[in-house]
Amino acid sequence: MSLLDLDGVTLDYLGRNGTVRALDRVCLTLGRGRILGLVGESGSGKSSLALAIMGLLPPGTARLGGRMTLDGADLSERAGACRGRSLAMVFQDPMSALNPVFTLGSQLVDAQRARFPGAPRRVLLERARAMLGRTGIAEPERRLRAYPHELSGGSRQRVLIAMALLCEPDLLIADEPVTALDVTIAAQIMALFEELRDGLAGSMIFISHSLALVSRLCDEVAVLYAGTLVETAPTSTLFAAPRHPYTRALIACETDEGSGRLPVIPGTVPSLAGPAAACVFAPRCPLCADRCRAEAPLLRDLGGGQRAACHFA
Amino acid sequence: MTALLAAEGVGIGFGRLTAVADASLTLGAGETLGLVGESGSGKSSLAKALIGLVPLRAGRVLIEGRDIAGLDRAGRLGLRRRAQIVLQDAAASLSPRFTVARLIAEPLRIHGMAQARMAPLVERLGLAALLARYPHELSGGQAKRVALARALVLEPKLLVADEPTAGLDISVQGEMLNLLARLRERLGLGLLLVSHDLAVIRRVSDRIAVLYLGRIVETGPTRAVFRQPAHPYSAGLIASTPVIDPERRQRRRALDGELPSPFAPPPGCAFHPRCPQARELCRRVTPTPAVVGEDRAASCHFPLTEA
Repeated sequence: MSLLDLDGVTLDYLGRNGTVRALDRVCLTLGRGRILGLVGESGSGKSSLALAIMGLLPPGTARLGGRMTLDGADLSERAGACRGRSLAMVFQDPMSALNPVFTLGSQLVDAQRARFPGAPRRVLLERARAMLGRTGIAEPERRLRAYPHELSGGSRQRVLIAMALLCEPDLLIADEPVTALDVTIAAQIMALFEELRDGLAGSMIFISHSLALVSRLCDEVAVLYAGTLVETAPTSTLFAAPRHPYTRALIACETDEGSGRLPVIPGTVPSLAGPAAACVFAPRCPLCADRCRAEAPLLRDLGGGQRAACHFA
Repeated sequence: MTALLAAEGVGIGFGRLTAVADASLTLGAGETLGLVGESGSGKSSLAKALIGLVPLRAGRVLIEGRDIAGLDRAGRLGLRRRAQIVLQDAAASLSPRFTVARLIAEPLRIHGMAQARMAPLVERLGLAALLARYPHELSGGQAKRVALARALVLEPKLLVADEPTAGLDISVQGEMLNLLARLRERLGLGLLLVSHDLAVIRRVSDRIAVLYLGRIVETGPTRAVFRQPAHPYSAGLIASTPVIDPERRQRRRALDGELPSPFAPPPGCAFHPRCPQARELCRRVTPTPAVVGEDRAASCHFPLTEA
């Protein structure tokens, strides 16, 4: 049985100037112990999806439809109770994700309270120390007494990864965890994720705008475009035989190394006001035909675990 | 032939911080030089100093053979015509109270040039539909194009572009880079491209200069440097750049450690604490640029390629 099941998840943000459809009927499953790469450009809805799963959407302005289950239990009402127990998240900006007025030790202990109620502080602190060592923090003993400002961005992200792992979550969501870091530091954190991947008991969703980053880490990849899941496949299949024109274009944008003109996806991401009657990618698609403008393609099973939402896939 | 841009032993500092030390580079007309480095490497400071926006502590900068220091008002105005910059945060560099049309016309007004000059550029950059808009009504990519139009409307010889693709989605990054390449060809621009993104630099630069902690550690033709980097830092930077690799064929060789504080740079070679092959000499003596191949130089006692 799958760990995470998303069935027709739709998310509308209600604003003064109308409704924005951030996610449109997203269907996705994630098996136990699997790592899913969630890829898309800005505005594709990847962070919204993460916040929806975590139950962190702004109350009042977000309207969520469809069904989300974690381990068979409906998530829409109990996400709050799951956070810090079966759900954990690593955010993009390590500089603002830690509380500046508490030591790392006390924050790492507090993060475990929900998961291990009643455990003595001494035990939780020792777990924290061991986990900091695993995530590559030098002198973890000393670091437990340090405040966040004493650490570099890369080290803070290591601390946040340690904090998430200390909860032993069934599902860990990492939202662009290296985007805010320098290239050589980002490579170190990616190496850490690759090291941890085999020791990871739960599943992970790794969100990124970069296909290159997910290609090495993830078992499967899901590509989001303008709130629509356009393709999902096992990683090797997706890169060897992408079926959606958007996936193909994205791969071309990242692989081209020759000189001369660079591959470009013409046009821009469409406005998300209201549900679309057509394929969301139609205005930028080289294969676009009349049918694409009249009828939104459904995500179709193409065999081998690959699905694509394109009339011509 | 006189180089379009020549920097000789440039040093830049702010208070007790040495941002850039002993930087020398040249750029020819119609050439693209990629300046690459991580945050804090001094690349933006150097880029600004090269067109006279930041005072030098040492060395000199020549544009078309003329020293840009100590110019009078008329001289500075002339320099602005010949050398322009597109700043990293393009949106913030646009006055919020001006329309796009007025923003692009402003440099022409200051230099007393005909407003008609902007029409072909507006057309070429696809800005015609945006002329009546204010900066807050522009997307990130549009703001970058407006800033580019402002810089190019004076038909400069030299354009410095600081992180022209930062904040742009990958599908539109190519568009911006193609545009820069096209303009360079058509206008014979010398282009100094500043970026932390090696993938971007690799695609469009003829030559690259790699900065680490305020020093240029390697220069050379882009293709040669990528094929066989001479400085261990260049090698580490190239190896750290993510590539699509679903079968995990490449072994990751990430650099250890982090950028040291520029307020207290390590003695000797500033890179030695992170260098996989540092020896005793590297801890004591700062290396100077040495030839490591045709048109190539590296500041390393033990370069990975020999001349």
